[in-house]
Amino acid sequence: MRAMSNYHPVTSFLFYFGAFILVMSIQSLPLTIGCLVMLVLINKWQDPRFRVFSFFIQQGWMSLVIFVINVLMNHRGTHPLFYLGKNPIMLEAVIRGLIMGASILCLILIFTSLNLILTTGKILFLFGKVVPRFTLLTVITLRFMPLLRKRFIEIKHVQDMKGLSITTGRFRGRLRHGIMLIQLLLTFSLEEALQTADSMESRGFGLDRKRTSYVSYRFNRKDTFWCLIFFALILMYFILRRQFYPDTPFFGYTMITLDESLFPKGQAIWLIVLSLVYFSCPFFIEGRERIRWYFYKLKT
Amino acid sequence: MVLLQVENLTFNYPNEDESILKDLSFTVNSGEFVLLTGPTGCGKSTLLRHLKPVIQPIGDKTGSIYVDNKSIDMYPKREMAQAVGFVFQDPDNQIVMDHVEQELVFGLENIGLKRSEIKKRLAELVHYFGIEAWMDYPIDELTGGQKQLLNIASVLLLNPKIILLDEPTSQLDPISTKDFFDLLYHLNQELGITIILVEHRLEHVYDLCDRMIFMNHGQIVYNDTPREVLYHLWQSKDENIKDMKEWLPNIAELYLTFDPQPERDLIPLNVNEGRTWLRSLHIHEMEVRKDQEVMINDAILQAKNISFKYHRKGKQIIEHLDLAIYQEDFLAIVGGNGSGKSTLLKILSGILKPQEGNVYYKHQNLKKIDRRVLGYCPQNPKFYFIQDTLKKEMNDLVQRYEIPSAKEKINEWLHHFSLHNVQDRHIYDLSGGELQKAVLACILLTDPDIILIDEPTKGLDPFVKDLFAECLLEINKKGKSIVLVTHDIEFASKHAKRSGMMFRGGMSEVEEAKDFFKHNHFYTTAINRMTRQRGIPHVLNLEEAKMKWHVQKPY
Repeated sequence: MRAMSNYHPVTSFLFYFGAFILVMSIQSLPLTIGCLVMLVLINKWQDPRFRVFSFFIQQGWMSLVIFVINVLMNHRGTHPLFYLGKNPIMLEAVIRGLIMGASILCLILIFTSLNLILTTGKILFLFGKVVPRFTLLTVITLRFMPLLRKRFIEIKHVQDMKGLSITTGRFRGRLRHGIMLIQLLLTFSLEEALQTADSMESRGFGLDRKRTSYVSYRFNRKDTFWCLIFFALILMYFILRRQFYPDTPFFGYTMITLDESLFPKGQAIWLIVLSLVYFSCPFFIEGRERIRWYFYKLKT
Repeated sequence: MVLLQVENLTFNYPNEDESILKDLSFTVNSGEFVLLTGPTGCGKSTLLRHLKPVIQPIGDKTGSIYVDNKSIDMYPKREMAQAVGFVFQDPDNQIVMDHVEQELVFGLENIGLKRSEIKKRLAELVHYFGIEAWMDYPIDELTGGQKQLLNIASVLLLNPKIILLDEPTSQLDPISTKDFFDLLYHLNQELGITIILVEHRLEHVYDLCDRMIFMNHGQIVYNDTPREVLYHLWQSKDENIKDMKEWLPNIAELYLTFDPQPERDLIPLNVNEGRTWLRSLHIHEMEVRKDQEVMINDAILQAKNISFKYHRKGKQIIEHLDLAIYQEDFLAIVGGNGSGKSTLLKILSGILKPQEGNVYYKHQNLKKIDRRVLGYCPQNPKFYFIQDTLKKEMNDLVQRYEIPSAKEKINEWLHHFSLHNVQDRHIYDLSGGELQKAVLACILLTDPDIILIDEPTKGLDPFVKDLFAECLLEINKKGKSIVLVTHDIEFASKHAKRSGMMFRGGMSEVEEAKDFFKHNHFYTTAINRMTRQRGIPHVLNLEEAKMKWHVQKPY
């Protein structure tokens, strides 16, 4: 189910880059929710093992924290709901919090999908020429993530037996134990990483000579087509956005009005349509592939 | 043709009085398979690292090393990266990228090869190794053995003249180890690649290598064919190398012990040669009084019908398993990789909760009792220490558990395991054997009834291994039960009282260790494989043979 992976890294990257910009600039609630739904669908299509519920449970707490903080701290607005002590809780703040919480989830979803499509090889291909050292470092770090996780579970088990539990006991104790375990994990991993460095150097890493890249990708006609589409859609979004909301900055934390953020009217609906069209591109790509196979099988 | 030449190499680590390498000289010919061995700390790994300039340790070095008659320091970096390949100990740490294919080409990209050339080399090698099937795998789906295979493959792609290997199999199970050594042998025989291997798990290697260099205290003691070195080790009365008989492989030791007139050229190195030799002997069985058996009375730890898996939809790791552990028990659990041994140990210690069944300690559910009655030694002892020295760790434990008369206890165990002089050293500077003992000492502070140990003999040299076994036997005598998970059959057969094998989440019947290993065909000691069904008293290891055999050589 990953027709996207057959495309040139630049094409895939452009899509995720555009998606990132869109999500960052959203100012209305219906649009955020629309994007969230689309992104969940994209993830589900690309990876059948993607669990929607456990995703929301695992990642949702961060959005919740942001939502709560926003509601408590933000007092700009004209519709007070009730008073908490002396602080008014504003309807605008609630909506703003919802938008931010959902946007965070959208960003995480974008990166989950990106992780699946843009494998490390492709990332190396994309950025290897521009910032070689940094790219390689990133790729190596990515390799360390599962390793660290495995080690941490092991450490947790061992230390649990010694009574340094991070799942039972008082909160402060657990926190302290957690910090101790992470310290152990980091010292251990740094020590082990010396061997990785040796292994890299012994295979000629860091020679003055230019590194070559083994993987190569072809930029096809279909890549050109989709790149143009993505580019055009993002550009249109930019222009429309400038026209409808000339005063609000493109990104950033701005004051919102209830009307605009809850019930977009008239031309603002075009923004929603445009974003949804953008996020449905992966489905077209996937669908095209499926239809092609269908006809291919019919013919042979 | 001389490929590698080392002349008067002396090396000092900074701030150390004694040199770790003392005036070493030797040569290695092209196409040789050299085994470099010796006790822990004898300098063999340091020597190996000197042969590859980029990973040379820092310190004072004198003497010179030549590869192909060219001084190693004068070699251009790029040529050096290709000429000498290095495979490290830990399979995980030396892998850089996160997919197999990228890892393979990593070195080739570094030296700036053209894409078409990389493709050609890759295709060739992948075919030779037969690893096409897992080219697209992410690294963390490979087993330890596969990872080490990948490591040697990615080094081989650079077309090295010499491959240096630093204890490459210390983290692998016996089957993977054997496969790995066979691969080395093939590379050596078919491709003519020169190999220098540092290793102390030797059973297989003697048979494969052409030459053996035995080091001790920074000097080369022997440098000869394996048989010659073995013979010398056996004969040596030298003060320096008094315990070196430990280094003999079991079959050779059996031969040298029992043959009335041992000849160095006839030392058997594998089961087949051993059997041929046995045919020439007349062996009578001597009466042996029975050993003390484990008292099968009341189980102190009991697993009843436990089942376990890590994820709801995951593989069933343990299935309806029953197991009982008795007072003063010494149980060794053996089994292949992924058979669930380590998981079982974690369940017995209460770290993991089984989905079905329960573990009982003296008829009480494990959940309800104080966990201190169980001690757990992890596979990687470094994960045990929160503090940076052993002394701090012990003090910390004593405080946390409020152990009475702590000072005496700490001293007692430090003394017991002779860890006094390393108690203030940083944990990461301890050797493998010391680390294992340190964990054991810490665990014993809380006075547990049962000690569960996961793979304690990984990467230990034979001498250290025996010392560790002595420690275990002593605490066993003091009334502690020991449960051991291990790949090391020789170790288990020698020291354990009872033994069982895990397979597909279940446990074979737990028998007395001697009977258990004697009945096995494959999963047993080399001496057992050699002596079974031969019409001679059937023994498991040298100790048993010494008790049972009375040998007469026909004239």
